[in-house]
Formats: sequence, C-alpha cells, structure tokens
Amino acid sequence: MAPFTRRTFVAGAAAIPFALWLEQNGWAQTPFVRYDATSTQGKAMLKTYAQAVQTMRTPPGFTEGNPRSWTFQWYTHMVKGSTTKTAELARIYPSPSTWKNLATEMWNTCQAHLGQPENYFLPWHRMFVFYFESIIRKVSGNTTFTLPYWNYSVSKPDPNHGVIPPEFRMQADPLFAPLFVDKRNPGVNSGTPIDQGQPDDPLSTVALQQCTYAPSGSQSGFCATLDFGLHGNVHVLTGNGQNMGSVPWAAYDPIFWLHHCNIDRLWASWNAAGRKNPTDSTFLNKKFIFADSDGNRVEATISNFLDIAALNYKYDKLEPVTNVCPPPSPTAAAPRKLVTRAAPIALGVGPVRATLSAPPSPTATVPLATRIENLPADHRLYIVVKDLKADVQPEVLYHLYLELPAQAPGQTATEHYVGNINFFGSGHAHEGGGGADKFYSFDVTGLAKRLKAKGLLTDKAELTIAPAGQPASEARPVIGEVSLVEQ
Amino acid sequence: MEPERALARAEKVKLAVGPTTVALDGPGVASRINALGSRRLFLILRGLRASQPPGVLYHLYFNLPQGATPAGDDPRHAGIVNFYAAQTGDAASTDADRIFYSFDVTEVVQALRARSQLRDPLTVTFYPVGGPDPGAKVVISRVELVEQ
Repeated sequence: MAPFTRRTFVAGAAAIPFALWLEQNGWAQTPFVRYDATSTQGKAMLKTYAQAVQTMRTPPGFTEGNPRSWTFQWYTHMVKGSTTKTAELARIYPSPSTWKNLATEMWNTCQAHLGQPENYFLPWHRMFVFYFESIIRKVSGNTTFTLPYWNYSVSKPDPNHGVIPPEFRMQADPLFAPLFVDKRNPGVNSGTPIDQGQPDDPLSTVALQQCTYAPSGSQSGFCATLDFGLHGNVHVLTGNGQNMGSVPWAAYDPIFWLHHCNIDRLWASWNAAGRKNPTDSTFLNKKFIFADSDGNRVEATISNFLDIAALNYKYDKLEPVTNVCPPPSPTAAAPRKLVTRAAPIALGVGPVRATLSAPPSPTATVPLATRIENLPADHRLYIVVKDLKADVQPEVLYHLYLELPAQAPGQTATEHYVGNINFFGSGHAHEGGGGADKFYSFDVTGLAKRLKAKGLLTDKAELTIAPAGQPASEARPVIGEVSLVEQ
Repeated sequence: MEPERALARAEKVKLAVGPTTVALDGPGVASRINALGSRRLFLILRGLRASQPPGVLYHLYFNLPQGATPAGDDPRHAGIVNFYAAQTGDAASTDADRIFYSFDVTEVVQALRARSQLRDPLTVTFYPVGGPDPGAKVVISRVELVEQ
C-alpha cells in the first residue's frame, strides 16, 4: 500500500480514518492533560490562550473569513444575533471560495439549539472544543497547549466557587485584556460569584446522578439534565443577552470555551463512573463538519468522540459520581413483538383501523390467541405506539380500541378501550434533525385475555384510532408503528 | 420501566416580570400523592419559549403563598429553570415541545405532606431572581406533575 503523502492527507482529510488523522497530526503521544484554570498549569495555559485569542482576532493574518479566526469559530456555534448567516456570508465572502463553502457548512451548527436531537449536545460540543483547542495549539505554536476548564461548581466555601478566573477580568492587562468582555452580568467582572443571591444551588452537578444518557420515562437523562440545568444556568448567570446569556452571542466570549471544557469534563466523569452513552447507529454514525488546526475541512463522527482516551486527552481531575444506579433487572425479558404494523398510519378526521400481523419469526404461524393463552405468568402484554409525527398539533386526543367491531349496537366501546394518545411535541423532522422520540405503552394484558376469552381476538389484531373531536385540518398526524408486545 | 401517570397539569403558562403562580389542574392531587408508595414524582416542563432571553433564572416553588418571598433554603423549592436553550422566534415550532425539563420532586412533596402543607390545588410559582428583560415574552407550553 502506498504511504500517505502530505498532499494526499490534506486533500483527503475528510476521508481518512480518524485514528490515522490523529496520528498524522502528531497526537499519538503522551495524552494531553486539561487543567483546572485556577491551577498552576491552568494559569500557564491561559497565557497561551490569551495570546492566541488576540492573534485569531487580528487581520491580515486572521481575517474574519479565515476558518481559524475568532469570528469563524464564534459563528460555528451561531452567527451573532444582530444579523443573519446569509447576510454575514455575503458580507465576509463577496466571492465564491473554499472558505465560504466551509462557512456555509459549519456556521449555525450548534447542537441542539435549532430543534436537532438533544443527544447531540454533548458530542457536538466535545468536537467543537477539540478542534478549537487544536487551532489554539497551532496558532500559538505551543504544541503542549490544552484548554483549561472553569470549575464553577467547586464546593463552597472554596473562594473559587462561581468566580470567573481572574485572567478574564483584567481589562487593562497587556497580556490578558483579550479575555475580557464587558457585557457580562454585573459583578462578574469584579469577581462576584455568578450565583450570588441565588437560592438553592444553580451550579450543582446533580446531573451526574442521572442513570441514563437519554430520557427514560419522566427522567430527562444526563445529557438533557446537564444541558438545560447547570450548562444553561452558567450561561445565563455569566452574561447578558448580547453575551453568554444568549446562544448567538455566547461563543464570542473567551470564557465560553472554558465553560464547555468543564461540561466536557463532567461528561467524561459520568462515563468514568461506568454510565453508558447511546449505542444506536443513528447516533454513532452522525457526522458534523469542523475546521482542523490548519483550517481544513474535516468530518467528525460521533463514534470517534465518545472516549477521551481515544482522543488522546484526559483531565487532571474528574468529578466524583456518588449515587448508585439500579442494575438492569436480571429477570427482565426482552420485549417481543407478537403482531405489528410497521407502515405509517395516517390519521384522519374519523376513526382509522390498523391491522397488525405477526412479524417473520419461527413462531409466526402460532395463532395469536394461543400465544396469549400460553403467556407466562410473569409476562405482560403492551400496545406500543411509536414515531408520532404531525405538521402541527391536531389539538385533540386520539382514543385507541382493540378489536372494536365496526357496528356494535348496544355494545359499549369501553370493553375494547386501550387508552389515549396526543401529539404534543411530535413535530415533523426538519433541516438539522428533529425526529420523533415519543412513544406510548399501554398494558393490555387483561384486555387481550378478556377479548380472547370471548372469542373476539383475531390473529390479525385490529387497532382502531379515533379522534376525540375535530382535529386541526393542517395537522396530518401519522403514527409510524404500532405493535402488541410481550415482555 | 414503570409507566408514568400524569397527576395534574397546567397549560400555556405565561411568565410575568414578577413571580407567576399557576395551579396544577388535577383531581385530588394531595390524596393521590398520599398513595404514591414507592413511585417517584416528577415536575415536568415542556415547550419553553422566549421571544428573547429573559436573562435570569427562575426558581420553582410549590404552594408559595401570594406575595411571599421565599427563604434561601425554602423547603418548597422544587427546581431551577433557565431559558438559554429556549426556542426563540421562528425556531419556536412544535420541536420545542419535544424537549422536557424534569425535576424529581418526590422528597419536596413528601416533606410538604409531613408538614401538612400539601393541599389542593397544588400550585407552582416561577420566581425570577433579578429583573427579567421586560421585553422577553416567556411561555411554557405545559407544566405537569407526573408519577412513575
């Protein structure tokens, strides 16, 4: 096999295996260590950081259109709120160029502030910080640079609790002035803790106690709890609506990166405690575009960014995770679909009937009634309704019935009643992601057995879905899949 | 996973510049909480939207009397919400409703019951700390108490 040349590497940076790309960039060496910004090592790194920030803001070496410029990196998160991405592309790139193409791909891609799947919040920001750090390393010439983290949650009475590092408050300092921003909240730039006067503990790391990454029932999971809790609290408490407190302005402030370095550290801490990231292929294979340390386009895949050891860095200190999560029940059976309808069911203004049939399996020929009769004592039956989508809210509930006769004079529908669903929060997917995470599960064990006993359960179980009222005409609700599941 | 059950809810909650109190509509919430057993209670917020960032945190309290100023360690404190990630402007589509903020309030509610402070209707007060931007129109599509 012909060796990679530098020419082929640069040309094909988006295509080579990530591990090889790391090696080619000289990162296959002793792991980098990211330090607390208040530590001796962290303070040394902040000197490099301040110099690099100044360089990245200074033309002609770093014009705004340069992928390694401060503006370009800021806009990758989101373009400033006083204008639009389209307007800035036209202003900064009056002519077509490779940089313009890259900006078109990269700007406004912060996850998940425009309706993308929430699970992308942590890996996208890990990638963002990773490539930004590599740019600082290259721009500064300090090949050992690592981005420090801002540990605002350090326990009281530590004087550093909630206090922005002093290097970010030195407006007149010839070295650290680039780290100063005046639009932070009152008191922040004078060393007041950002949570001063707040009841309870907005800087708590309670998100670490979550046992799953994604939502589980009523628990929002680690990613969302961290994003909407501590992460968002720090943004709002640090800066105003033209600074850290607003998504389109936040990444202009140099403290943004230290904040997200700390968020990344908390994710690493959660994983180090044995808690697992999602393993579905959609999540693992998701790609985002970034600029590497040379300003060249790279594709970053989530699966390559789930383990910081593989990225060749670690933290000087991880946060302890103190609670215990219940182990998966050893006796919990995997759910088994008895009958299903996997094709989308479009709902209308009147009742819709969906026929469920047995998926291909060795037991598919066994009559449904027989399988229910032989149901183990510790197994239950569930009607599971998944992948709900609607253009707009139908603004009605939908009632579900199992094996409801078409005409049943004198017979009440309640004998067949399963439950009701709504389409609250089930918007259609759009550019940048979205998708339907919502599902309903109804325990129909008793209902199915009663219907079977009366001889009313057929092999192709039929589900009737009826709106309770007049749905909004433009709603176009759809159910992606309905199954009768044994577990 | 245990199925979840909504006990009470309020819809389309608009936050004012000062504290905003909403009653969670649901029959006999207090008595149903008495029968909780080993299940947990969650306060769930869906569909957070703001026309612009209000710029403050909102602290949530159960059954805070009208006009009361909560103490720093108030036992009725249920959670903290920020609007940093709230969908704004044209992005405020139905997608905002998919995302939910969840607070395990089991201990808070049980403590209220122990002090005989649990009563119907259960109210939630959104208490801003600091002055929200008066131009920020802040809405929460649904506030719900769920047991699981």
